[in-house]
Formats: sequence, structure tokens, C-alpha cells
Amino acid sequence: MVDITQIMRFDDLASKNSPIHNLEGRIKLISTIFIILVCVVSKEIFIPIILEILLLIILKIADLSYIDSAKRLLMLLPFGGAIIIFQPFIQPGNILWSYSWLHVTDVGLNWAILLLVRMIVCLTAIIIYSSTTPLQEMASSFRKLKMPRDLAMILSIMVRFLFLFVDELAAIRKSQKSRNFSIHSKNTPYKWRVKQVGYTIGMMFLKSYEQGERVHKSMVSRGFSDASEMFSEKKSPERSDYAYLIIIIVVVIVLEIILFKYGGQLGYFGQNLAIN
Amino acid sequence: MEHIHLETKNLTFTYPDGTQALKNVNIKIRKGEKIAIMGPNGAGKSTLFSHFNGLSEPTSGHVEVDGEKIVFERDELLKVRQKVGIVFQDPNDQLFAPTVKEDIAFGPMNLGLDYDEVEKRIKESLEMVGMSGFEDKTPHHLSGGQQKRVAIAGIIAMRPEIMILDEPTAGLDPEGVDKVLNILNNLNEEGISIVISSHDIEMVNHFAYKIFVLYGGEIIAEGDKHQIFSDKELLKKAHLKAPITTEILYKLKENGLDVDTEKISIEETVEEILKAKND
Repeated sequence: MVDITQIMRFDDLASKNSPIHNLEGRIKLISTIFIILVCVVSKEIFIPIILEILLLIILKIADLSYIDSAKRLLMLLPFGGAIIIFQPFIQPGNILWSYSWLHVTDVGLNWAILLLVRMIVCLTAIIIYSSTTPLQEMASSFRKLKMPRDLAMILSIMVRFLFLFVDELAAIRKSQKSRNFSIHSKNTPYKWRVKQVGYTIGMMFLKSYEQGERVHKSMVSRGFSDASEMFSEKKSPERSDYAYLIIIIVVVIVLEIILFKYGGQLGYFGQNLAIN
Repeated sequence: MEHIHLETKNLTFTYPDGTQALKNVNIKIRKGEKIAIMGPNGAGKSTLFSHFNGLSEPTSGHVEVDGEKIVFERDELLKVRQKVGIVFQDPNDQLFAPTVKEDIAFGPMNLGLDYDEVEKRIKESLEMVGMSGFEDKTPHHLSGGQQKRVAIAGIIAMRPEIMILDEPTAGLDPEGVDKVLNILNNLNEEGISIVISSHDIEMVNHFAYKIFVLYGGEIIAEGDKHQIFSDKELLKKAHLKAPITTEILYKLKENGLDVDTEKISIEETVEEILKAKND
């Protein structure tokens, strides 16, 4: 079962050792955003598909499991997938197939395929980023990329206390379990069980609030004020970090040139599938 | 003239709901002292501590640091909070940054120090608590004892003159307790005054010289540890227990042996017993 405690596992995964894990956080963030941008503006599926192949190679180098990554992709897909699935039916165009009032059009189908390809590539890029970068490094990357100070502080603190929150919740659930509580148990009335879950959630809110007050007090005690600056280490990316980003950019440029010069020979891959 | 580092004068504090947490507390802490404030749960120890660097404003009375009254203005408070560092009981309340290094940097950054100085202080304070090499670890992944030491390092990095520690050894294993006490003793040797709160009498017996007993928001006794620990009536009133050595000496005295019940260290107790045996 997927639950909030799984987040710990993701962070363990992200703390492994591989050439991709060891890249500088900012470089990974920028390359992820770059890939997403390129995908979103691509009107042909040629570039996204080659990028996906590149990402699958990166996945291999990062020593991540294809199966686990595919599972995560499937978990995320429904969010955008819901919009994509209607496209073949609602876009005007030449009718390919119809059944009473239901029509599938070529324009709609092409558009749906393009959206799906874009989405898969974007999600793969995000999955690679999130499985090779611990949360704390993400927070510090955002900060180094000049995210507004207050937002960066909130993000940093959130990352730190998310784990405490998860621990706290896990402890409550463990103690409930040890007293034989189960949400699926048939021994107790349904209403009573729901109430207990409600109490747990309420308790988490209270605990979080009080924890927040105590943390603030301890921060003030160390001289915190609205003018405080946050410390971030001055570590600049190394040559290998830049190389990673440059490889991705060069691949995209080469692909753009191929598409521009030989687009006509690529068949369906080079066809403009976007709706205007 | 002796240098009084921290002093409270008729300090009284009442919570908004009307609970009187502190009543006329008068405490003097001299430079370089090792002090313990003892009392049962809910006696007001944490409330008292939060007055020491201006986290709480007294209802009446005041606190003086180096002879100067705490003024509740931003710049003044910053100075006071640099001088008086508080280590909170639960490290989770204090360690909020994603990495150890960033957490320790927090205090010095707030003092407006430059990066090189901050880096230097991080290194120095981690060395002092024996946690070098943990710079990039997440506080969450550390053990309780390690978290405590990082929390202490975060205060050391501000170079305080007085360190206040709320229950510094609560929840630690014996080795963790020894490590923390070692750090505190080293800091004390460098001239930092240390104030701890605890109800662990054996630990206080090892560590402190002077003791204040806080009960129901009032200081009901103060003195050196020999006086306090041998006063069984007082300890009972304050819901505390005498050290095991004191208990033994009392039992021996009840049995007619001529022993001095004010001795509290193990060595002194053994000496008393041997003396009584030879008499």
C-alpha cells in the first residue's frame, strides 16, 4: 500500500551513489526544467521520443530500477491522462471511426498522442530528478537559484519537518495497531473507526502547531528576525556537472537541426501534430 | 568585585490564563559557575529559562545580564541572545535546517557574520562536540545523542558567555550523558558559565556545584550540592530523591554509626564508611 511513510523510501533512493546522483543539485534542476520546456514547445514527437531514449539511458546510469520508475510513472499519469483521453473525441477533424454520436478524429488522435508523449517525457525527467536528488538538496538548489528568501525558508523548514511529521504519524499508527486498531476491522462500528482516524488527524494538526511554536521560539532565541539571511554553501558546479547540462543542450540542438533539415523524411515522427 | 553574569530580580511571570508560573525568583549566576536548577515537572524551569535571554517578558521584576537590564528592543535582544545561549530540551525543536551545517550556521548568520567566519565557527563548534564529518547529514537521520550534540554546537557557534541547557541529558544513554557532560565541562573550563535544569540527581551530583531548587514557581532553596542533597526533607518537598550515597549514609547513621551525611561523592562516602568501621 502506498502511504505517506513511503516518502522516506524515496529519500533513501535519492541518497544513493551514482554519476547522476553526484551531480550538482542546480544542474539537475536546470536540466530537468530545460527538458520539460523543450517537450512542451515540441510540435512533433521526434524530439520528445529521442529525449525519452536519452532519459532511459540516464535512468540506467543512475542505477534506478526501470520497473519501479515505470510504476511511479503509472501512478502520476492519470493526473494529466484524464485530459488526454478525451482529446480524440472532442477535436474537430476528419472522422476515422464513429459509433452513434461518438467520433474519433485524426486531429484529435494526433493531438492526444503528442500530449501523451510530452507528458511521459516530462514525468520521466521529474522522476529521474526526484529519485536522484534528496529533498534537502532540492530545497538548497531552489535557494541558490535565487528563489525569494521567505519562500526558500518555508521550503527548507518544510523539508526538515516533513520527516518529523511522518515519524510522528507512524508512531501514532503503530501504537493504534498494537491495540488492534484497523480501519478495515469488522469488530468495531464503522462510525467509531472513522472517528478515531479523525482524532488522529486532529492530533497531528495540534502537534504540528505546537511544534511550530516551539521551533519559532528556538529560532528567535538564536537571534532570528525578518532580516535574517539563510546560510547556503558556496559550492560551484564542477566541469562534469556542466558537461551533463551541455550534452543535453547539444542533443536538443542537433535534434532541432535534423528536424529542420530532414523533417520531411521522418514521416509521422516529423509531422506537426499540434492543434492550432 | 565578583562578576555577576546573570541575575533575576523579583522575577514574576503569569500566563495569560492566570497561572502564576514564577513567583519572586531571585537568582545570581557568577562568571564561570556550573549551576543546576532542580525541580519536579511543571515547577517552572523552562519558563524561567525563557526569561534568561528575553524570549518571555516578565510580568514584574526583571533580568540583568552583566549588570544591565534586558531591554525588549530588537538590537538589544540580539546582543542578549548572543551572550546567553539556550539549548532546548527536544533537539527537534531546535534543529530545523535540512543539514547539520546549515543549522549550526543559523545563529552566526543572524549575528550578521561574514561567510568565512561562519564556516570557521561551524568547523570549530562541530569539533568541540565531537561531530566533525557530520556537516552534510540531515538532522533527522542522527541518533538522539548526536542530535543533542549538534543542538549544543549550534549554540556554541554563537560564542555565548552563558549557556543555558534545559534537561541536557534527558533521554540519552549513559554514554550520551557522559559525552554531553564532557562537552559542558570543557566549555566551562574556557570560562563559559553553564546553567542546566534537571531532575536527574546523580547527574547533577556529578556536574554542578551550586543548586537552586525550584518548586511551584518559587526558589525554595539554594546552596552548594552538599547542603541541598543532604536535606532529605527539602528533597521530599520538591518531589526529588536523594542520591544513593546520601541514602546509604542516612541508613548507617540510623544504625548508630557516626557518619557525616553531607558527603555525597562515592569516594567521600567510602571514606566515611571506612572511618566509621575503624572507629
